[in-house]
Amino acid sequence: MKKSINLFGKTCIALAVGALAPLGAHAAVDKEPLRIGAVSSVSGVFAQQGEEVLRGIQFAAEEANRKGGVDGRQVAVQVADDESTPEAGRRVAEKLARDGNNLLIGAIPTSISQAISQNLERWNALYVVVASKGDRLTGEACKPRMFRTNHSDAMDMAMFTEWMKGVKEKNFAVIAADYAWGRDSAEFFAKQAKSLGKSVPVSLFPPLGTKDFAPYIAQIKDAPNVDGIWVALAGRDLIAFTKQAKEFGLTSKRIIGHAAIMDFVVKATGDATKGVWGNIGYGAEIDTPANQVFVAAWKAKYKRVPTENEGQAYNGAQAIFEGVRKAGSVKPADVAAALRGLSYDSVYGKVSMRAEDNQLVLPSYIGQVKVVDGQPRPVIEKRYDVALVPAPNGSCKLK
Amino acid sequence: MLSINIFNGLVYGALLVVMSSGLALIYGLRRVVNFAHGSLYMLGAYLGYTVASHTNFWVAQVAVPLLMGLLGLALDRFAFRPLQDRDPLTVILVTFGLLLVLEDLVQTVWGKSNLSVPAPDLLSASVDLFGMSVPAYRIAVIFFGLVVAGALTLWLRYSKMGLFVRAASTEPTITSMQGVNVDRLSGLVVAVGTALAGLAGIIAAPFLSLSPSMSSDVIIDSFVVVVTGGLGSLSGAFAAALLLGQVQAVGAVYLPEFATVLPYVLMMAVLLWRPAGFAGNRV
Repeated sequence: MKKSINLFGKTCIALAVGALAPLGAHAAVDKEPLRIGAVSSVSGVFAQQGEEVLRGIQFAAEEANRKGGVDGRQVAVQVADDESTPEAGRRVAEKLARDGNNLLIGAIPTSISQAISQNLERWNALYVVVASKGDRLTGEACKPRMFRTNHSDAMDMAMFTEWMKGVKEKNFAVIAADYAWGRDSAEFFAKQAKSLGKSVPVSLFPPLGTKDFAPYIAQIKDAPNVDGIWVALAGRDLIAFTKQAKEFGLTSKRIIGHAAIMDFVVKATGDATKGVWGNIGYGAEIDTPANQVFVAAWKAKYKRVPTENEGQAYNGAQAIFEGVRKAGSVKPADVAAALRGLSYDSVYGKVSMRAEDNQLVLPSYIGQVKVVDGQPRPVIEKRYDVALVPAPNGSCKLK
Repeated sequence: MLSINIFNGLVYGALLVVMSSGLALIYGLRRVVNFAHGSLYMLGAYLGYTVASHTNFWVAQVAVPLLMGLLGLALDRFAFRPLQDRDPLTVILVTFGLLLVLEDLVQTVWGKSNLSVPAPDLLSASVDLFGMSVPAYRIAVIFFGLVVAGALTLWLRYSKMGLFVRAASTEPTITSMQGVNVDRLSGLVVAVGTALAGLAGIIAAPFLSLSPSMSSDVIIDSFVVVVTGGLGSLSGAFAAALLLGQVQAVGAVYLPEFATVLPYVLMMAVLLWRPAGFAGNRV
């Protein structure tokens, strides 16, 4: 009895392999698989964004496998939780890499990405940044094995500078988180506003973890003639401010958010973000053939369009795939060498990985939160060509 | 401008009144430094979210404290009472463990997303106050704080049970020798304290945002209130809560650079002046 089952089983396998062989699936079995180590925040303050990033990566892997793999290789994804801290990020990334999942991707904040990037050579790994925006990752802290496929702060700022020329509001209030990023953002805005002949009569810097923004909102309302607000807050503070700004009727002014109109913020605040403007890293509206295919496939699976983080993560995974295809290898050193300076077709259209600092050069987008199919979500209103992307500032020295 | 700042301070102060009175009550009777109080507040907010989305805000405001009260009874029966003769440090560790369990529970049940509870229709409008339109809900928050403070004061001052609570807080042994069942009384007080944490959660839900890390936001402020007011003292906690609300709101406007440290400066100053807090050990 046992023998007959074995024989039957073997026959089935033989038949199955025979049937699949013309589709090229045998190659996917033969070649070394493409092993992605997805390190992002499953717990901690960045968990919501981490969830989106991981979903985007998984989707890219599943899609690639359905099409017979990448360069004839199966794509495998191993996930690890960086607990929203740089220490844990470094630790789990090393574990992933040493276990062979050495094509790393996925952390949310710049601090974690930077922690992961320190020892890539020693771990025999490569890392793709898909959500961290800090300029230093492609500036003084750049690494030959780290690539960024999303927009940097400098790119967002260049786009805002261009867009602000068409903004008619004259007097702005600035509310920014009281740490390096918020302060930098406020300083940038004040400089731009001044050069465009606008004034910034109120600048407020609530400490991180502010729960009740009423005292700050009262100051903005109290300032005469303020008709616009530049918001550079993060995470929960941003959510609390947005909700309370609506309660106090501040939303009648033009609100411009720096990295503010993200999906999780919109979801958490309901219609309070409606009409808020901001930079958008990825949107389903991007009009390219590759993006239309991606959005359609995503909609078929999740019954909704992909979010900014999901799209950015998908795009990052595609960069790894392109590198592997070009290199014909999954060895991180080979893939990194292939990616450097590579031009390829992406969901953003034709993009190129700048050789000087490993920053993907891609178009920029600005938009506002609108209600689409009954749900508020960020919608791209304007696209800026890659000509607007600022040149590397020279602080990145890649070996 | 100053009057609107004082108003804003009152709103947050009122929330702290509800929050910290529970903490003070539990400490007063059980001598438990309840680190899980913040997570109970969070649990209350999330329960409120679920109840409010199926019924409405007002049902949630009644149902959540009741549910949380039951949880408080269980908490006293199965955690605080068995541990009452142990080293206080053990109890602190247990409440800290409870905090971690509750945070994980909330993440498992409700997910990691930030959620929001809309203000009830009755209070969703804006009201003109001191020349500025403020959300009516914020006025209601002050009202809720006053009601809680008033009800607790009346209960402790004028009811028999309140007399027992005051007695047991100062002299538990003698009180039980007089025939008062201190264990049962403690169960009741922990239930009330937990219910108040839950009530604070549902009050906060429409104007602060719900997230699994919301507990740490208020628990530190609540401890500052309770220590400043005098550990275990309810009237001290009321005064300290209102003062802290003012310090935060007015400080954010006039001393923005020092806004984060002001509550601790206040606490230090009060403790230097009166080491046992405003009210000392009196309930």
